[in-house]
Amino acid sequence: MGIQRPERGFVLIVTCIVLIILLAFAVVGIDIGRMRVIKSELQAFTDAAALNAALQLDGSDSGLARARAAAAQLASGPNAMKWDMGTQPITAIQASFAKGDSSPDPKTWQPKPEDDPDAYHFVRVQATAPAPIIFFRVFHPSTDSSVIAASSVAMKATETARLVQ
Amino acid sequence: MRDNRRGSALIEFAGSLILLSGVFAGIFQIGYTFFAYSTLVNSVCAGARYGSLQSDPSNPANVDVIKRVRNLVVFGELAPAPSAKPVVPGLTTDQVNVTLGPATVTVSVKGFKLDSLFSQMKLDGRPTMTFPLTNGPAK
Repeated sequence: MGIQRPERGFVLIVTCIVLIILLAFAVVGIDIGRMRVIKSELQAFTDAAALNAALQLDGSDSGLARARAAAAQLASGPNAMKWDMGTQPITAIQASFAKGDSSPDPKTWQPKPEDDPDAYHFVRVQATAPAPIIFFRVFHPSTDSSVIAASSVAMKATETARLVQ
Repeated sequence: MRDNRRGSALIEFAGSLILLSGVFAGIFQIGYTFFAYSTLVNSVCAGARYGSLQSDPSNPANVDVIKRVRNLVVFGELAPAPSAKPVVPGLTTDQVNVTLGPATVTVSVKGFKLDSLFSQMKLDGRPTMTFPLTNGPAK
């Protein structure tokens, strides 16, 4: 009898271990899966927004202002691009501009260029969204969301625009 | 006594199996839904980008452009073979809505039920992707 005692509760222990393993799968499958969806949605949005903004660049100050407005334009209206499986509006959008000919000069990125608007040929649109975290909180309770960011760079070409990064 | 204990272990195992398989099924279902939706987002985005590179929207050849965009979204190819399988099971070209012009192209999924094994999720108007037309004069 004494030898048999440790057997009691064995299934409970195994269940707990399996439950923890399943929870780890849940973290991967659900939390990271959701983040991947959000990342794809934001990336698609920044690609479209960067192209939309680059089309407005015409070498003038008003062109830069129109480009800033165009960067956020696709996040509103009846066909707005959204995040979290197409349910949440994208609100954290930032446009910045850089000088350069074939590639953007990294030192010149700025949201509101004040010198020589004709030299700014590149526009970068960045969008962020707080992806909700559900299962990872079991392991790290203070984390309730993770910021997902996407960024795209487009350049103005003759009569059109194209994505650079 | 020993036989009784063996029986109770079996009952405990059966109970935990029901619990664990329920949890596992739930995780699978949600995970699969995210995977399928992510595939849809990428494919709708590719379709919209392709559409944005096409010629003038007033061109009558657009019927074909819309058809190609739909094929790209559903099959990942512009001219798929008759035996081609959709990127997400159950998706048909009729469920892809394409609006071309004058300055943008919008591609969205309408009336599609995403079948994730134990339940269905209705996708009406999402994902929606809008790209500016980047082939003509700057607007």
